[in-house]
Amino acid sequence: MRSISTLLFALSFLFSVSVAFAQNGLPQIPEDAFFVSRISGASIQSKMSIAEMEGLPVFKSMFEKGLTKAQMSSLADSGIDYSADAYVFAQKNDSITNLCWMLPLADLEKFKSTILLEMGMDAAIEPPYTKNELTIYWNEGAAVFVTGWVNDSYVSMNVDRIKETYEFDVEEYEWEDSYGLEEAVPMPEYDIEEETDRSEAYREELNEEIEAIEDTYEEIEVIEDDYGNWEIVEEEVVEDEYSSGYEDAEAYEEYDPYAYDYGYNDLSWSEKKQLAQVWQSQWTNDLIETVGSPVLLSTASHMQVAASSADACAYFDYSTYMDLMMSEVMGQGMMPMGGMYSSLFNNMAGLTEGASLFSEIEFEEEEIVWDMVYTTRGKAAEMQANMLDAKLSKAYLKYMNSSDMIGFYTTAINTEATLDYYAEIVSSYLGGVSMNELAGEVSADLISLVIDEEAIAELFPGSLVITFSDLSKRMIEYTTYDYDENWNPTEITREKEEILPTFLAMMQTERSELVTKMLKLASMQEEVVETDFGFQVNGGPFPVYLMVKGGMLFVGNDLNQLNDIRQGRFKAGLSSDHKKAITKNNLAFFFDANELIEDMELEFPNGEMADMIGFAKGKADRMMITSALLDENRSFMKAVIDVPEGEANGWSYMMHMFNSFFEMEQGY
Amino acid sequence: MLDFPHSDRDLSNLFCHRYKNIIKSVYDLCLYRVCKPSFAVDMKLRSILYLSLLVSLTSCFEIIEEVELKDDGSGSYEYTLNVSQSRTKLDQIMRLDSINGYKVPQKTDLKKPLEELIAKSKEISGISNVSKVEDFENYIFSFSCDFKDIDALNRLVAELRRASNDKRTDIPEVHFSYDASSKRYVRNGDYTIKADFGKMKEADRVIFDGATFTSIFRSDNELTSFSNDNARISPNKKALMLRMDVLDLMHEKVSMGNTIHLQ
Repeated sequence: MRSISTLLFALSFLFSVSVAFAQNGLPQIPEDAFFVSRISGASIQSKMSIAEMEGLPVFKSMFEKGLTKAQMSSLADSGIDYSADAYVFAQKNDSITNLCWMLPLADLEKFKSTILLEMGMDAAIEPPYTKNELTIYWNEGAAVFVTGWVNDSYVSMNVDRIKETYEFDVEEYEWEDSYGLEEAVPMPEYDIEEETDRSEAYREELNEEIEAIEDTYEEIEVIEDDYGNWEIVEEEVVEDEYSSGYEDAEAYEEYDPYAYDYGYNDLSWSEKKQLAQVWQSQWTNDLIETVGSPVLLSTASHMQVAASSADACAYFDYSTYMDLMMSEVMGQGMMPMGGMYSSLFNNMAGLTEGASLFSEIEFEEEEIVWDMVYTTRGKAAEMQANMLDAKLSKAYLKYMNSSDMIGFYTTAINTEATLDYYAEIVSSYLGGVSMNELAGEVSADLISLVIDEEAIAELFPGSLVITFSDLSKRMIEYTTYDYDENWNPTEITREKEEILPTFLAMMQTERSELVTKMLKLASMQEEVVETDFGFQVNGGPFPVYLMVKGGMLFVGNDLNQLNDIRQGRFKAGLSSDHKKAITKNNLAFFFDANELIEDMELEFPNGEMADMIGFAKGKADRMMITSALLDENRSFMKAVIDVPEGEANGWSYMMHMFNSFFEMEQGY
Repeated sequence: MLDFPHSDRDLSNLFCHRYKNIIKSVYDLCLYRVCKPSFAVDMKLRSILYLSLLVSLTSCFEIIEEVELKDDGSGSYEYTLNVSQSRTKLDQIMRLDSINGYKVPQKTDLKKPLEELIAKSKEISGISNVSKVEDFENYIFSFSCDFKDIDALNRLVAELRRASNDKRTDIPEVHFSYDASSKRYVRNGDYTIKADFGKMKEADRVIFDGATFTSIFRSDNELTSFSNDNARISPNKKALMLRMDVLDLMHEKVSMGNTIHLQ
């Protein structure tokens, strides 16, 4: 099965961004699907042909060794239509969450004689076919794979009814055991009031005191006195559920005396799998009734996926996902804990209500571009807009030089707004935990009394820049041995060169004098040492310097760099794209992997580390991530990864990387 | 004969854990070299390093084993682990609470088990003058003792293995031997570590880059022959040095084994 999983994964990988047109044979994607993604097969194929991909060892190996029943010498033998679009979507209802892959087919017979055969299905089997937690449907135009998992919350609230309705196999559930269902069993309905009573009774049972588990044993302790004499002390030790009964500390670390046995009001793993099989197969039956529908996607949100021209795109309904998380948490026994987590998630879910994420990937010739837009509403939108209402001051640019930097990280948030919302969030949490709204409100007011948001915002307005420059060399001393002619060792001291990454952190402040006083206080505690230019951290494996100048706190480990800044000699100079990324965004992260690898070659000229560096060289280039507010409801994050020289485009680069890791793993 | 009035469980309670911890600690400290290797310190790897404490296997670090043999078969033994070259990186690690899920031991965590190790060694018959050196500034640790006969060293290794609950059967019982009648000293090099080394993750194996193992043998009498081609004899013919890269040892390209004949 591993081989077919690998094959499916590889095929999904090929199609992982797909489209929303109504294609022959595909069922309609449900309106309430919370995750929909499309892969444009035609677009991917234009980046790297099937023939080229098949030539990679990772695929060759799969054909030669990975399959046990089917014969494949080419990806085309799978019968899948790689030039069309494929979909993945997830849909949740109360009882079960389903994940569905939809692959377009070019040749059904080939598909049956390869993929289905490898999965143990002979040609006589008719769709839909359910085997354990996977249901497969196929027709001339498409293959649909559905897997599902039951929602724990639903199960725990309906466990008695479920056990009455279904007869579960008592044996361990094995892949080979199931050969499909003759008739789908309908999902049960439940009465909410009856279930509430059932839950209350359950909660009462759980609140009963846990019976102590006791064990006694004799422990012999050996005590040695100052003269080397041993004394044996025997004592009887009584263990309870709170003390360790394990000699092996590692086992003890794994032991959790507070772990709750959910088996009492829950199904076993095997039973859940069997239940998932029933419900997911019924869901699939309903789904395939929509095959032949004129439209594939029917909601405005899903239609974004259709409208996108990207190589791959996805829509994610964050709000529904949080509902799922909340109900799962509640189902896992959190309700008996006084509803603490349910309240917490209620409040968190409130912040994610109506939230969604839309993402697109383009594998261009020179870069891979990954865009994500996060949309939010109501209170969350207000919070987001206010917290991100900040831009990085241009004062930072005076201390940054693109040609020296391996990477940088910059961030700018509105400290005052963030602290205002902090009190609110803490209030919600505490109110939930204590189940006392008043307690929450009082907490918020007390926090506001203690924290002066405006003053803190003056101390640190909310911007931070960290730069990483070229690795710097330094000499360190170490002890080793010299041997005379008769091999008698003598301790000697030698020096060796070590590479140290140079970093500089900068934080703007409007209260320079307060920051300086804080550092002086730290020097009284001997945490830092005052120097002629500022301060130095006391001790540590390498020197770290601190300096306050021009409304900025500098922390760095390159004294020359700090001296240049102090004396106004620092040569600033940012490239236009760096400058734009830093000044126009709330967050910017840049990293030049190539530059780092070249520097690391100096540190590790030979040995196995050198081999690893050699492997990485030429396979990584620069990366830039930026994030900012788009408008009052939306924020975005964009990641741009440069395609190294020698690669035709981003897709080709990814496939070659995938193959390289495979080869490394296989020891090629 | 070693007298153990306690049950195995007691010994286990007393030493297994702490001894494992010290090995693990030193092992972990030695092994951390680059940012974030993910390594699993399993018992076999601990055994490797545990063995290195006694049989001198142990960027990065040096292990020196010195055996001085007198005419009557008694002598002295010294084992040194020098991680001074990685001092700056170790300083960084020691400032952390944990790394890769493992708690970083503090100096006190390391001192006590070392003391217990010394105490245990003192109990072994034929072993005397046990001492240690702990230099936490330069990360140099040393163990030395006198032995009445060479078998006492083997008993020392056996007891330490027992204390650490090392149940491996592929480790020889005899690491050192001396036949007074034929004046033949043998240092056993028959350790199958290549397979275990091969199971280590690549990121962990790099730790051994640059590490060296040096074995020095000295005698009152002149050496007449020795079997290990990599060994070098001193001009006075009373000392022999064998120096190897630990990586070569791990790959079993070289061996620490040596048969030495004395005059």
